[in-house]
Amino acid sequence: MANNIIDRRKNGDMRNPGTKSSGNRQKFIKRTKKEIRKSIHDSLGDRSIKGSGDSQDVVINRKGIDEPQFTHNPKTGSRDIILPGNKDFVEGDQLEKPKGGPGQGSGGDKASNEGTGEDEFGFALSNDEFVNILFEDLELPHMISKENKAVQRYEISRSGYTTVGTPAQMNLEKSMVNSLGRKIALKTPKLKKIKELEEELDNLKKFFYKTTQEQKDGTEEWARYQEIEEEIRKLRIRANAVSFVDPVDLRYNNFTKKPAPISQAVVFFIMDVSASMTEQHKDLAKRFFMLLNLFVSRKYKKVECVFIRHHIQAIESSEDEFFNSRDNGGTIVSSAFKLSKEILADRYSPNEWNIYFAQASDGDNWDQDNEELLNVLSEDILPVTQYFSYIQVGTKRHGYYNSGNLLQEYVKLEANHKNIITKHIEDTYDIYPVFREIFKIRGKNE
Amino acid sequence: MIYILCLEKYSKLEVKMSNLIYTGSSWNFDKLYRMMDACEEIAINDMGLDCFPNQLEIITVEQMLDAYSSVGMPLMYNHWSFGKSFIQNKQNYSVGRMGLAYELVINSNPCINYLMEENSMTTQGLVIAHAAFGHNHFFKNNYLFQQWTSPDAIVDYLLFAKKYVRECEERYGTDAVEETLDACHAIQYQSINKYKRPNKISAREEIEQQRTRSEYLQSQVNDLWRTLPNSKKKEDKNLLEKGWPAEPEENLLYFLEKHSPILTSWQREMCRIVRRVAQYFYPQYQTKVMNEGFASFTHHHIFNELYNQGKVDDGTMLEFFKLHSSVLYQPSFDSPNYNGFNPYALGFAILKDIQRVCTEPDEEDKQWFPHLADTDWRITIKDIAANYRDESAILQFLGPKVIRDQGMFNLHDEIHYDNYLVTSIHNERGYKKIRKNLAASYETAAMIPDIQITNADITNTRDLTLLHESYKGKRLDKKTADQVLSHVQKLWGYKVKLYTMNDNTLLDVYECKQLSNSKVGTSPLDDHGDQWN
Repeated sequence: MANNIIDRRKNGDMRNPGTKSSGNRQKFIKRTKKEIRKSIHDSLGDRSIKGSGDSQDVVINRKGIDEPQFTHNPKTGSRDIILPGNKDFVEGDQLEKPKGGPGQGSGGDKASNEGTGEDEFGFALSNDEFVNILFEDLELPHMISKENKAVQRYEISRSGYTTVGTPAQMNLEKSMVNSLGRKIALKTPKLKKIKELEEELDNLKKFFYKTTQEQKDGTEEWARYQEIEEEIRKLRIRANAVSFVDPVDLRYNNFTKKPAPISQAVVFFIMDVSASMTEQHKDLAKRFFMLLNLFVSRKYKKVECVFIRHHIQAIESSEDEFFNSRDNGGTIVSSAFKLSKEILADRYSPNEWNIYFAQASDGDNWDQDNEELLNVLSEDILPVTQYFSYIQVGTKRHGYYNSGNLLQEYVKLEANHKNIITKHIEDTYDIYPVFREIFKIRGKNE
Repeated sequence: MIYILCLEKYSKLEVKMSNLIYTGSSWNFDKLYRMMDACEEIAINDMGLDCFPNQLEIITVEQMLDAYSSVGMPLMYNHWSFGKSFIQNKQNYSVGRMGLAYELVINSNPCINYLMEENSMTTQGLVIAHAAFGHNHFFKNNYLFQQWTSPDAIVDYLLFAKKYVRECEERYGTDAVEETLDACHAIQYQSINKYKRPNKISAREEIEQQRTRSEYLQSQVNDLWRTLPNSKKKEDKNLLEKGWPAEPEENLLYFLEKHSPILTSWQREMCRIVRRVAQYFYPQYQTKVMNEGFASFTHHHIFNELYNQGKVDDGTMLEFFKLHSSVLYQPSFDSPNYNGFNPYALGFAILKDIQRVCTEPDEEDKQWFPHLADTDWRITIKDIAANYRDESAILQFLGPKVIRDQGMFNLHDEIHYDNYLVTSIHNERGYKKIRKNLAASYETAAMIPDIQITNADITNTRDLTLLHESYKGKRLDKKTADQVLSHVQKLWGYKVKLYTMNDNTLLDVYECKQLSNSKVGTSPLDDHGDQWN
C-alpha cells in the first residue's frame, strides 16, 4: 500500500486549507456589514480605538445569518430517552421535568456563557477590518487638487524600461529574458544546420564504409565530405561565439519625473486645555481628536497634522504631547488662531494646501477676546480654509450650555461662511455620530 | 549484588530500546513513517483490514479550523456560512472553550488524514491507528459508504463545484449566487435519496454532462410548463385527475432542479451541487457510532499489540491511555457535560463487548449471542463494520453487559405529564427495551424530519405541496419551518404549502403568507432571453 506523508503547513496551493477560509470570512463580513456597522456604532462609547494592535470584538444580531433547517420541536411528541449513568432509579420512578421545556440538563434557557444572548453572534474583527468599516464612508470634505504654477512639484514614478541606465537600476529579469531570447534566436539556426550536415555526413560515412583512402581520394563525395566537416567546424565556432550576455540585452528600470498635481492637506487640531476644561471635557475632546487622527492617518497618505494646545497662550506640540500633557490656566482662544495664521504663512500656503481645522473646547473664552477671535477667524482663517469644524464638549442644561458661549459666537459665523460646522458633544456616545456627521461624504453641490 | 541487578535491568532495557519505534514526545517525519509501517503491519496482517492507500497531511491549527469550517472537506465551494462557522470555531478555540479534534479524515481515495503539527508523537500515532486504518477500513468496506459515496471522485467533484460556483459569481453576481445557495442549504437534509442509489460517475463526465444537461433540463421544464394547449390532451387530463407527481418525491432539491418553473440553468446546477454534497454525507451521520467505535477499537488493538511487541515503551502507553480515556469519556446523564451518548464510547463499548463474547463467552452471552460465541472475533468485528449502520448495529449487538456497565435506563417523556417516568433500567426486564429504544433514537427519521413533495399543481395555480410525515407525533419547529418554506418558495416561484400528518391526522399547516418579490430567478415562461447564453 502506498502510504504518503505530506507537509501542508507551508505551501500555498489550492488544496492548502490555510488560505481557504479567508474568502468565506470576507463573504461573511460583507453579508453582515450593516449589522457590524450598527454594532460598532452602538458600542463606540465604550471602546478604546487604537490605530493598531488588538482585535475588536463585535456582537451582531443573528437575524441575517440564520441558516434555517427543518427541525423537530422538542416540546411535541412523546418519546423514550435512553440515558447513561443510572445510580439508583428503579422502574416506576418519576422525575420532575425541568422548567422551561423538556430539554435535558441545561433546559431551554440559552443565556449562554458567551456573554451574548441567543439572538446574538459575537466575534472578533481585526483592527484593520474594524477601522475600515468605521471610516468607510467618511472623507475630508471639499478636498480639491491645487496646483501652484510657481512652485513646480515633481513626483518620481516607475515608467517601464530603458536601454540605458546605471548598473544599480539594471532589471535582471528583463535582461536575462532578452539574453535568452537572443541566444535562442542566434544559435538555433546554426545548430539546426549542424544537425542537417551531420546527417549528410553520416550518410557519406556509410557510403565510404570499408573503403581505403586511395579509393576515396579524388571522388566528388570525398570532396563534399571534407567540405561538410569544415562547415560544421565553422558553424560550431560561430554558435559558441554567441555571447551569454550582450549589451543589447540589458534593460534598466526607468524612472520619470512628472509634475504632480498637489492635493495635499493639512489638518489643524486645536484643543482648549485651560482650567475650565474638566477631566471629562478633556477626555471627550481627546477621544474626538484621537478618532480624527486615526481617520486622517488611515485614509490619506498626504495629509499633515498640526497640533495646537492653548490656554491664554497657544503652543504647537507634537502628537504625543498633544494627547498626553497637562496644562492649566485661563483662556484666550484667539491665541490659537494667531499661531495658526503664522504657521500657515510659514509652512502651508493656501495655494498649495487644502486646509482643515478641527477645534474642541468647552466654550469658555475670556469675554474681551471674543471680538478678536471672530475677527481673526473671518478675516484670516475661514477664507482660506476648506472646512472648519468646531466641537463644544460638556453637558447641556435647560437648553443652554453649562459652560461657555463660544458656540453661539460661532453660529454667527455660519451665516457668512459656508465652510464652518459646529457640533455639541455631551458624552462619549455622541462622539462617533457627531464625527460621522462632520465628515460624511457629501454630494458635489453641497 | 545491587550493581549486578541494575546492570541486568539496564541490558534488558537496551534490548527493548532497539525494538522501539520511537522515544520522546516530539515527532518527526522519520518517526511518522516508522509508526505508519508498524501500524500497517498490525492492521493488515493481524486484523486483516482492507484500506485505501493513505495520505497523511501535516497541518497547522489554523488549517484545522479551516477544514472544520468547510464540513471537513479538503476543498469546498465558497459560501458565507463557512466563513461564519470558521469565525465561530476560531473564537471558541481561542478562548479555550473548544479543543480541536486530533484528527480529521476524508473519505477519499487515497484516504486523506490530517495531522496537526501540535500533536505529540503518541497522539500522531493514535491518529494514524484510528483514522488511517480504522476509519479508512470502515469507509472502504461499510455497505452504506460503498453504495452512496464515490471516494475516487469526491475531490474532483468538489473542485468542479468550487469552480462552477465561482464562475457563476462572476457571471451572475455574488448576491444572486448566495441567495440561491442559501435557499438550497435550507433543504439540503431533505434532498437525499434514501433508497435509490445514485449513479457513480467521474468528475470529468460530470463536467461534460453539466453542459448538455443544462440545456436539456431547461427544455424539459419548458415542455412541462407549456401554456399553449397541447395536442396530447389525454395526458393532460390524466395529470389533472391523478395529481402530479404520481409518486411522492423525497429529494426536494432533485425535484426543484428538474421541475421548478422559475430557475435558470445555473441555479439548477447549484441545486444539484448542494444535494450531491448532502448525499455524500448521508452515510456519515448514519454510521457515526459504528465508524468511531470501529476506529477506536482499531487504535486500541494496534497500540496494545505494539506494546506487546515491545515497539512502544511504558511512557507512550501511559500517554496513550490518557488520550484514549479522554476521547472515550462518557459523562453520566446528570453531569453538566452530558451531551448525549459519546459515539466513540458507545461504539467502542459495543465492539469490545462483542470481542469478549467471541473469545470468552459466559452463559449470558451464549443466550444473547448464540451465533457469535466462540467465533473468530476478527471476522465478526469486520462483519459488523461492513454490514451495519448505527441503528441496526445497536439493535443487534448492544449486549446486556454494556447496558449494565453504562447504567442505561429508559426515561419516558409523555408530553402532557409533568414528570418523566423511568420505564426500564439495566435488568432482565429492561435490556431488550433499552436496546430497542436506543437503536430507534439513531433512526434517520428521529433526527431529521421526513419531508416529501406530494403534489405540484401544474395545470392551474402552480402551488407546491409538501408533506411532513410526523415521527411519533413530533411536530416541526414553527419558526424555522416558516423560514425554510420561504426559501423553498424562492426556488419554486409560486405558493408552497406544508402539511404535518401523523397517522392520517393533520397536525399543522404551514403556508408562506406572502410570495416574496425577490424570486431567485426569472421565469423561463416570461423571459427567454437570458438563460441560453
